[in-house]
Amino acid sequence: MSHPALTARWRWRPARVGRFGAAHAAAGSPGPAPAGAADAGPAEAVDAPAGAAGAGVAALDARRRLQLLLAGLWLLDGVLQLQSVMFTRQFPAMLAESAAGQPGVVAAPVTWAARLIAGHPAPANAAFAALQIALGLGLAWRPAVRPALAGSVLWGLAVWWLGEGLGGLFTGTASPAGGAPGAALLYAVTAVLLWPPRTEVSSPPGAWVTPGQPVQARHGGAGNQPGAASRSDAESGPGLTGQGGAVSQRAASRLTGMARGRGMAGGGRSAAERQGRPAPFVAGQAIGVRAAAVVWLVLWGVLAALALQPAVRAPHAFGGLLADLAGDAPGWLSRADQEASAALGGHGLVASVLLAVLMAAIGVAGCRPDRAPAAARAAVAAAIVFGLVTAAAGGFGELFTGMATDPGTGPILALFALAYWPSRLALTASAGSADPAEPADPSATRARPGSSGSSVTPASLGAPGPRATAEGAGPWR
Amino acid sequence: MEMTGPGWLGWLFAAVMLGTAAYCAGRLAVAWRSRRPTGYAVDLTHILMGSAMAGMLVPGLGFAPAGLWRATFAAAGCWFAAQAVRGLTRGGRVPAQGWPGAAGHTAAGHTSTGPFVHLLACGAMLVMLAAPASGAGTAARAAGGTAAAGGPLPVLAILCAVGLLASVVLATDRLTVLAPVSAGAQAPGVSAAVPMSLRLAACCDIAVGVTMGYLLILMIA
Repeated sequence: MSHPALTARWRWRPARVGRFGAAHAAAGSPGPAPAGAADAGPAEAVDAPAGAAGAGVAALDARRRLQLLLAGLWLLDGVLQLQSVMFTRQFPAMLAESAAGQPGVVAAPVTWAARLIAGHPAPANAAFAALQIALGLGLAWRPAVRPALAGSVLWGLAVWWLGEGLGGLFTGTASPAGGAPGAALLYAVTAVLLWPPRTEVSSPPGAWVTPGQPVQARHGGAGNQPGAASRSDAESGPGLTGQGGAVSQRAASRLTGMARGRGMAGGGRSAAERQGRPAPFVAGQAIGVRAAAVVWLVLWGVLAALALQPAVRAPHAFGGLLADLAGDAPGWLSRADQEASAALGGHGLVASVLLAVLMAAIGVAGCRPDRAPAAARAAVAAAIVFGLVTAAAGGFGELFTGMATDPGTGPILALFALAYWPSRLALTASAGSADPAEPADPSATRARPGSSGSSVTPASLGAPGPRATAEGAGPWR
Repeated sequence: MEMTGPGWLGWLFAAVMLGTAAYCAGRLAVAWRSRRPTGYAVDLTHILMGSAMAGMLVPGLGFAPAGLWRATFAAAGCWFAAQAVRGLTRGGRVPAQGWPGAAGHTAAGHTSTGPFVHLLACGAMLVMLAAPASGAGTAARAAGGTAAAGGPLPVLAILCAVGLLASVVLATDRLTVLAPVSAGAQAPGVSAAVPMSLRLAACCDIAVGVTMGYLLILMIA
């Protein structure tokens, strides 16, 4: 799916979603929303203290956005699964095709699953579609985020194995340009990377925080169970800097604990994480910086290796692949594929080597967003462009043929890459937390009029300044 | 127009749409009788869309010619476009309820998912009504090509479907912050009448969005 948000214009900012503001301020409070409230998004309204808590708040917003993008992809997949042809025996036949050229240990389960579905194609497909739509809606509905993410992992792995034949990795012909390592695997991996920590302080929609007051988030944060945030926030003491703040010290310490890798995988802590500095990117907060780096390196390393397989680097292999993809794309994309195929001609080896170099470069440059954010941003941007270009070349997973079960590997690869985008706010706050006595940004400790606490203000980050309001979040029920 | 797909699935979606239309009609009736605030335009649009889509899903349920539906949704689209332009010109931007899926309510308690998403929905209805009776994709494949070769309609359909599904995701995300509003929660000076349920209005948006996405995807099948 070519999600509108997954474009080069995507800007990673601390939740400029101010258009939600007025409605939800009004939702939980009597009377009209204050003037200007609509201009300040929830995250901007959070007067986050410097350091880890500020970083965590920003990154949690980023995680929620990515979760919503994943929800959109699942929802689209579910609706695509409702296409007429999926209720016929053509669907299991399509699944069985992925067993071709596979070793027996991979082909046998695929064939078994296809045979099983062929017995009752309509009910089976209806169940698959319902499950995927439920995953999408579950990810979007905050109280169900964790079960939906867990379901995404399980269902993604099942589809990758039984429906995609492990992405064709063992056929010797899988190419990064052809959709390897398989969209379903990336759904599962991305769901892991977007897993919310056990305790987090987030800025859920409508959570307007007044400096010096406890966070009034009576609903769960991004992916939290209802009440999880309120438990920590209700115990608010002095702010992180001891001058009063929006996030309690205990909550902040939990945030840093989360950032040290108390998410799904406790290992993989870097020195910075052990010192209490949060990971400045979503994937690092979920599984730890080092584990996230390993995942990134493994993925792009595998893609580089796949590009150099004998069958992929054959003289006419790359051009042939593009010619094949042309048949599944709409007219204007098909013409581009054919022209590219003709231009490549017999230079498949050169193209494959260049592709492998690109994959390796993305892998090396993007693995440590905390240490080299500029390189990581370039790598993530390159990964997004690569994903969208390959998706377009393949007609977005044969979307226009009426046989697509998903929009291909490209969109989910771009979403995966976005989980490694280093947050500027988090980096700034992280730098501030490295030396509490020396704030990274002088404006970060500038007390605002009417505020008794020091804070990282969006104004210091180039964003429109928030208006502190007394509007609380709407009651969560 | 008529869409293809499993018959039982068409009936299922048609039932959901008729239920949505009936509920929105009830909202309008209750709001009118008891003078409770609601989004009149949105509820009316949901009634029209629900009825039209039920007719697309199950041909026997269609009761109006396609031309009438086209004119209706073109007019509704113009109205929402005017609302969007008015919102943009007034405050420089469309306020909270103008964001797709941000099923919020104004201070007066009116519920609305905003003109943009309803403008998109009206456009999607027009795209569906412009498709040939058997679906663009089917005709194209019968001619030996893919749905994409059938013209710009499948591309438009996919774009509309992606937009609507995105609005569904956002509307679902907002469900947890749409609180029931009791009469006691009304501010002084604001009408004491309790607004119609905001969450159920958002659920109507979600139901209409998913069904419309399904119908749009069927256009390429």
